[in-house]
Amino acid sequence: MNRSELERKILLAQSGELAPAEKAELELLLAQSDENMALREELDNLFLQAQNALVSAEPSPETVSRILSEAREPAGRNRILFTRPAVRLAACAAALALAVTGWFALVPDEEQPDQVSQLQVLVAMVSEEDVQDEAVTGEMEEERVRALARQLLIMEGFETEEIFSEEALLLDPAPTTLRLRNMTELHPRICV
Amino acid sequence: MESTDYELLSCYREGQADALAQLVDRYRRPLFSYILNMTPNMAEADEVFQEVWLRVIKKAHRYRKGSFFGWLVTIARNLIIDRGRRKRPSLVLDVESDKGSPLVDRLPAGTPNPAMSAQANELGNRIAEEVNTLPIEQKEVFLLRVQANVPFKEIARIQKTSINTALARMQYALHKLRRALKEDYVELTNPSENTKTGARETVAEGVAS
Repeated sequence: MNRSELERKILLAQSGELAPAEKAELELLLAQSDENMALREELDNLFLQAQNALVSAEPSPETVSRILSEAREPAGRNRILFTRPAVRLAACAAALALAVTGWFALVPDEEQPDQVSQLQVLVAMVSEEDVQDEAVTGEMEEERVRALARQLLIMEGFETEEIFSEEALLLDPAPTTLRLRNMTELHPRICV
Repeated sequence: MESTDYELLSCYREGQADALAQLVDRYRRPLFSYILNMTPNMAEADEVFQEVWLRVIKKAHRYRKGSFFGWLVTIARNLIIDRGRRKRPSLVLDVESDKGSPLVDRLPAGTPNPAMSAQANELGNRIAEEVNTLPIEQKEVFLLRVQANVPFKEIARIQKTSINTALARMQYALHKLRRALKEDYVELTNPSENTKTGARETVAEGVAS
C-alpha cells in the first residue's frame, strides 16, 4: 500500500466509514511502521488545529428570530421577507399587463360582431361533430375539413369559392388546415 | 431522549412551530460556520442562512429520511453557487473543463476571508488562511469534513460526485496545505499537549453525523 492509499484509509477511518475488517487491517499496518503512525498523527493534529482556527460563528439573533416568526406562520401563508421594491413593482406591472391582455382577449370587439359569432358557430360545429360522429369515413372527414378551412378563411377576410377539379388539393386534414393561415400572403386564392 | 431530525421535522409539518425552532438551534452554528466560510462576509452569510431555512419551511414535506444537515448544506451550497453565478455570469463552476477536472477545482477561492481571522494560535491562523485560498470544491470538502464532521459519503452526495472524488479533493487540499505551510507544518508532527486538549473540546462540540 503506497502513501496515498494509506492516507485514504486513515481519512476514511477518521470519518468512521471504514469497514471493521479494513479498520483492523489498517491498525495492523500502522503498528508495523513508525512512518505510517506519524502520518496518522500528522493528520489528526492538522484537523485539530484547523478546527480551532476556522471561524465558527452564529447568525445574528435578528435573523434567527425572523426565521422563527416565519416558521410560526400558518402553512400557505409563507411570504418572502425581503422583497425588494423593484421586484414588487415588476410584479405589479406584470399583473396589470396580464389583466389588460385578458380584457382585450375576452371582451368581444364591437366593430366585428360577425367574426365573433362566426367563431362561436365554428367551435360549436366542430365540437358537435367530434362528439357525435367518431366513425367518419375518409370522404366525410375531408368534407368536414373543407368546411372548417372555409370558415377560417371567411373569418380572415377571404372570399372562398368551391373548386372541383383534378388540381384541387388532396387534403391532409389537420396540418394542411393549420398551415392555411400562414400561406395567405403567398397564395391569394386558396383551394379548400 | 432527544428527538431525531426527522421526528422534529414531522412535528413541524403537523403544525408544531417549536419543532423547527429546535432544528434551527441544533444546526445554526455548524450551518452558519459553513456558510460564512464559503461567502465573502457576515451580511451575505446571514442572508444565505435565512434563505436556507425559508426553503426548509416551504419544502419541509420533501424531506425524506437521511442526513438533515446534508440537506441543509445542499440547499446552502446551491444558493451560494447561484449567487456566485449572478455575480460572475460567464463563469460556470460545475462544467467539466477540457482538462477533465471541473473548472472549479483549478480556481483559487480568492483572497483570505477577513472573517477567517484569529481564533487560535499562529499556526492555526495560517492553516485557516491557507484553507481559504484552496480551490472552492477542495475547500468545501475540507470544511465539511474537518469543521462540520460530515462523512465523505455525505460530502460526495452534497457535491454530486463519487466518494473517490471527494477523497481525492481532500487529498489535494492536504497536499496544498503541506506545501504552503512548509516548515510550520513540522509542528504538526510534534504538537503540544495543550493544543490537543483544546482542540478535542472543539471536536466534542462538532456536529455528530
